[in-house]
Amino acid sequence: MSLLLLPVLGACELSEQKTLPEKPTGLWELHEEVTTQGATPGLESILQKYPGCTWGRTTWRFESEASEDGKSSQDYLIAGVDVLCPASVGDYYGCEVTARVPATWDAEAGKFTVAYPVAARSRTIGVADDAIPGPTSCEVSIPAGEYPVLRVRNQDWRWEVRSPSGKVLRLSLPKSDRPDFVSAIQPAPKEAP
Amino acid sequence: VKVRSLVVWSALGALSAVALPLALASPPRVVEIKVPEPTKPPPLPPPPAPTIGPNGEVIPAPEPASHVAVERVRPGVRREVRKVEGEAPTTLWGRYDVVEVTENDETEDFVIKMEREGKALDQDCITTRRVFDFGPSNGTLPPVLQVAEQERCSKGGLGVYDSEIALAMTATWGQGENAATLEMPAVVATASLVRVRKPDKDDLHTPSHWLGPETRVDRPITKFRVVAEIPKARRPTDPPPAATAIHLVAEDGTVWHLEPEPPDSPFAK
Repeated sequence: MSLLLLPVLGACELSEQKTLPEKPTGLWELHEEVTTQGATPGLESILQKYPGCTWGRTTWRFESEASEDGKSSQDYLIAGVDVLCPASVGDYYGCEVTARVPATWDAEAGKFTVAYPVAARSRTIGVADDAIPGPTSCEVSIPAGEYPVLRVRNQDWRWEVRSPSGKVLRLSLPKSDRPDFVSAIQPAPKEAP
Repeated sequence: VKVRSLVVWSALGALSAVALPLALASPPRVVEIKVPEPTKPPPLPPPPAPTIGPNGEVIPAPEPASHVAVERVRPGVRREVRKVEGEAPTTLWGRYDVVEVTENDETEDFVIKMEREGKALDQDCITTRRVFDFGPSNGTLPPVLQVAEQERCSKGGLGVYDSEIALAMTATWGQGENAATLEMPAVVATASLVRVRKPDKDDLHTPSHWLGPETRVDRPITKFRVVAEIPKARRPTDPPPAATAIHLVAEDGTVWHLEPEPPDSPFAK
């Protein structure tokens, strides 16, 4: 009798495991930002915040670090902003900034919780004549609150993360880990007729 | 060629004809330079003799000192430790620079300390200021604190530039013994700068680009005792004036001494 029940119990266990939401890891790029107004492409949403700049991206990295004894781990959310902006004729600067905060992953609900907000801002000012003319600036912030996560299939994006402000962030695989400012400055190759 | 060699030989002959008799006539003068004798070291003091204790026992003499204690003070280091005096603040506002750091019973100028550490590590960027921004005056201790790290960087292709990474984070305040307590959360932030030159239209080469050094702030959960030097208000009804100095005492005993930010800060706005 018990032998007969085993496959059934095993199947139940498997189905329970399957119901747990998937947890994102690694680096992801903002593909689209969805608000009540509609969806805005990632590039457009960042260029709205940096008028005059020509390229940019917002990234989210999900990290987990094991404790020293290896018995537990701590999750982190890392938000990043990379923007490419003109400084003078033919001279561009790329500004990069990231901020990392501890987060708690709720495996049942499939959401991260950030206990406290953080914002990081990077600025530079040229001192000598050979420096980039004009100031540079970029900033990133991670609001405190809950970040429910949903795995998406058959779309250009892989994850949907709802931010505490209610925006839905659609995240896709980035083209590269580091921002590719060199490619971004070059004109797109003309398509063959 | 023959004429030229004849001229050279005749000149040499004339020179020897004059110099030789002169050398024979006057004997060489010898100037003697005496090196002064080294000063003899003062005689060692006589070794202390054993003494007799109150109960008649012989107390051996202490061992003579094997070395001479030298008070070494680096440039920028105070001879005396800066005192942490003041009161527990109930309100703080404005921007304050870390001007001195007390560590291991030594108070050192912050800028000199950062320069020394940066040069020792051969870094492209040297920290010039650490600024605590307590925000506008609102009669309380600020719930959000901004801490900025400012550097002077020098890197090929990017030139010389001032860089700042500012972190805004929640500040948790409490009251302790003669001091307020401040807790700041664990935060990591990075920043860097890239310069890219757009090539000419006909230039198909990869655009020239230069990557600057990464600035990284990795701050664990930090707890401070906060003591502020606040001048007395002229009238009891006046709001308390701004602190003239703030001392942040970390749990490991390190003290950051803060003073109002001077107006020459490149990132004061």
